[in-house]
Amino acid sequence: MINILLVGSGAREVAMARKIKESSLESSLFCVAPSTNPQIKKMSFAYFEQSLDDIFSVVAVAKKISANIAIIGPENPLELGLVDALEKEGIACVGPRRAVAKIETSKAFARNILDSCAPEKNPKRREFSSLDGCEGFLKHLKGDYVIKYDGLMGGKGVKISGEHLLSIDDALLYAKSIVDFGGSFLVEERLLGEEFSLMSFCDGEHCAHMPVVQDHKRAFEGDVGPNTGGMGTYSFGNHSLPFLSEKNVLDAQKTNEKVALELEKQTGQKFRGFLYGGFMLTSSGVKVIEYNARLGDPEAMNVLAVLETDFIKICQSIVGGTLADLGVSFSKKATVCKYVVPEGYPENPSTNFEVFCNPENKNLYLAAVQEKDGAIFATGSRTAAFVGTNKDIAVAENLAELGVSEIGGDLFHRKDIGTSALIKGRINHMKEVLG
Amino acid sequence: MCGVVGIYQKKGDVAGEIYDALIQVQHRGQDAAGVSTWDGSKMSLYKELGVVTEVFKTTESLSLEGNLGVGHVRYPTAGRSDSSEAQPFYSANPVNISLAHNGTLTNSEKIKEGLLKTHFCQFNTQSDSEVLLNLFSYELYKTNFRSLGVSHVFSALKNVYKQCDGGYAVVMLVAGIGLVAFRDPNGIRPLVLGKNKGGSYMVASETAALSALGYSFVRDVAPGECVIVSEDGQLLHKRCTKKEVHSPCLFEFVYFSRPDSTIDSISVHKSRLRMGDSLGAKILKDYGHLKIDVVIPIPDTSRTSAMQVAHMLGVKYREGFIKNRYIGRTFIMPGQSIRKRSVAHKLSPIEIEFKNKNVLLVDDSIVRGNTSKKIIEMVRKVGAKKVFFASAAPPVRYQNVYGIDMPATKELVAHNKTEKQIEKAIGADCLVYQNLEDLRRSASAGNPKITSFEDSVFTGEYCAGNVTKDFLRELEKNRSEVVSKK
Repeated sequence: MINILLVGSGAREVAMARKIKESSLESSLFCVAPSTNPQIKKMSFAYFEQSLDDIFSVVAVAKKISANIAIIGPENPLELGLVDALEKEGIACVGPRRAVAKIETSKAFARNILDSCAPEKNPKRREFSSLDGCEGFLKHLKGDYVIKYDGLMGGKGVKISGEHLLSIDDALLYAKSIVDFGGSFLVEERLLGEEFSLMSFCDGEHCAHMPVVQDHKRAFEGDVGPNTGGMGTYSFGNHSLPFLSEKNVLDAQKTNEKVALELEKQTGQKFRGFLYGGFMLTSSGVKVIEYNARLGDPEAMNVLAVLETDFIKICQSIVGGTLADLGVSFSKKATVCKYVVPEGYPENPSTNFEVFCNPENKNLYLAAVQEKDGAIFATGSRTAAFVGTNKDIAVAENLAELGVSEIGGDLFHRKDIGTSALIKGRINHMKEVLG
Repeated sequence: MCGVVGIYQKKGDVAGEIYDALIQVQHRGQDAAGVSTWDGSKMSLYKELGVVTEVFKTTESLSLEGNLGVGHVRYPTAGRSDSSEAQPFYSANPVNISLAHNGTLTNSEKIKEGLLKTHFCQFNTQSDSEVLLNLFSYELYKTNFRSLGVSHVFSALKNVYKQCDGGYAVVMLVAGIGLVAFRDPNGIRPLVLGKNKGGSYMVASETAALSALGYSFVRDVAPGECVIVSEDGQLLHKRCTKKEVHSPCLFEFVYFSRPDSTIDSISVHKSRLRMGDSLGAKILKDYGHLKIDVVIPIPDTSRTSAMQVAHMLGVKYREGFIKNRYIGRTFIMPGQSIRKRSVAHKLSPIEIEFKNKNVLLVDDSIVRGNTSKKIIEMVRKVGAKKVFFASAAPPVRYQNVYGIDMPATKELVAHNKTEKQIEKAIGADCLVYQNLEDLRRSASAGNPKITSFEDSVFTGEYCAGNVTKDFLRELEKNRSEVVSKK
């Protein structure tokens, strides 16, 4: 019997919990999270509702349940050193230690790792901890720049010229707010092209790659509106995307592999967990946008929906360093994942309203909800995701749309994600960029 | 939901036997009934709205001649409920054919479109059974036969299978061939074969029809199989499609079938006993704190399970409702307003069984929730202290598309609700649902070879072909039109 502690209670963690329950290995699932997700609760032997900020109380839970493996969903506990603390108690973790998780938590660190192992994947950039020289560099980039806060900001620390920053004055104002706060930031050349996510299971030395996924950060249809945690994602049955060549995908996979090895070289510690490369195909090849040290949400729902290999075995291989011996496979099906979010999300979301859905639907993944007296209430962030899976992406999109539109409450979602019109647009955009 | 029968009788007119068999499957549909017979040169057909005993009481209905016949009792799952849509359906092209069908083709609109364009077929009804008849006729015509033989029927059916999605159990009379019966590739809808000592054969939706007429059960018609009883009494059979996962409809066991029937070698009665066992075990385990004084079934279907629940809990079992047996099953009546009235007319509580007691009501399932809600109100009115409610089936959350009358998803009380929200909606002090796994096990324990069920009403996952959004929307629209016309 394996005691598994799942940390986190979003849709991503629902997806992992389901794979754990599907496993051929006997296990007891425990969950610790700041809110009660009714779907995870139903699958769990015990559920601990508590803040994840106090890592020592999380460690206490892990000890109490005699956890054999802990799987860390979100990034914040990684930054707080939860894995370091758990491993000190002899509990194996799927998720990197703090020093390795810096690949996500420090944008500058990530760029420096790439400089050493795959410099061609980096855009032009400079690091700043004050405004000195900032204006000059912005001008050098001729108005195409990105300013990234060098730390975690829930996907909202990145501001792009022409979108969030309409002038150099805007840019300097944002930079000043970071400096005033005592932080540092990166200024990077703004890349043009199509983004894609490539996640890999990683045991520190070997990577087992997952299907490529495309996320949609903007809140509204047609990719407008504020940035969100991700409104939805799609993947294709061939595990690539129609605007990518085989070479592009291999290039991204190689980059993840190099990064994993370089991380060990520089930190002396292995990256054990989910390595998430955020890439963009540009006119000058595949570039890295950012790295994450965990599964993406919504990407996790797409890839786990088609994962054929036993998830617990994968976790054991990650912590045991035996991933190379385990064949990881995914079924050749397309997936479309759509989130429903509260009206007003992300800036001024409606909160604490009742949500009507069928929590037992295997394709529904509840996220920012709280169970109260058997009913489900939205807490303000992304509420629930629905995944459609089929050989044909058009049918997968149909299923996702039908499922997501049935969820009742003060909610909205993006109808365009995964539709043939949207995908055609992406292909055309890529053609334009590549010339 | 519909019932079908087909009989090859060694000697004499078969209409009387079909009539008797239809009465045995009357529970599968009370909307209309029909019989078609073949005497070797003439095909006769009589059908009308109403139950079997209402339809066949005039002299013309007795003039059906021939020793081969098919019969049908229907409830409109697709299409409208008027007499022109009663079954069997008849076609004279390329030979005399009549067809009766239980189930739903999920892609009948697409097939119809094709037939209109390529074969200039004419359609007089909205029924998918007429589509199926025309499709078979066309495929039979396409075999280019000079002298029609069984091989032509098998090859036509091969093509029918290729084009049809959904759940269907079909009986046909084909002139020059005999009685033809076939079942969908997943075996969603039931169909059995029986034989009597005199060398007559019967196919029927349920074994109850066989035993009542003195036929012994031979076997279930296999999924994707066609069985033919020729005009000279030879039995032939052939699998006409590639093998799919056998997934019988789970709701047959929960509600539709008669308890004395056996479906795919599973005794319906025993499956209901097991449903009661697992439901009782769940109540003991998770609801041990409830102080239940008495277990009372909501008649009729749930009696078998309720008795087992009481036994598991060690609580007495009592009949607490008197049912007016002249009203028919409320679940099967179209039109919400009619339904509301008939609940009150149909059941009346025996006051002393409820007064000052904590009662556990057991029902086979909760569909729209109106009946459950009314009954709970009724029971409170006669003085029950607490009213707990247990359902032998898990929450019914999705529309059925394979031939069970479970219309618009939105009308289902469990749709988009958690169990607590449903409890509140029907007004119970506590609501306990069977687990889906337990329900599946209750049925599969009778035949371990069956590992999959058509249970989309609980899961929303449809097994046969691709059920698209358009299809669901279309069906929902059709159904609401039916209701408003009544």
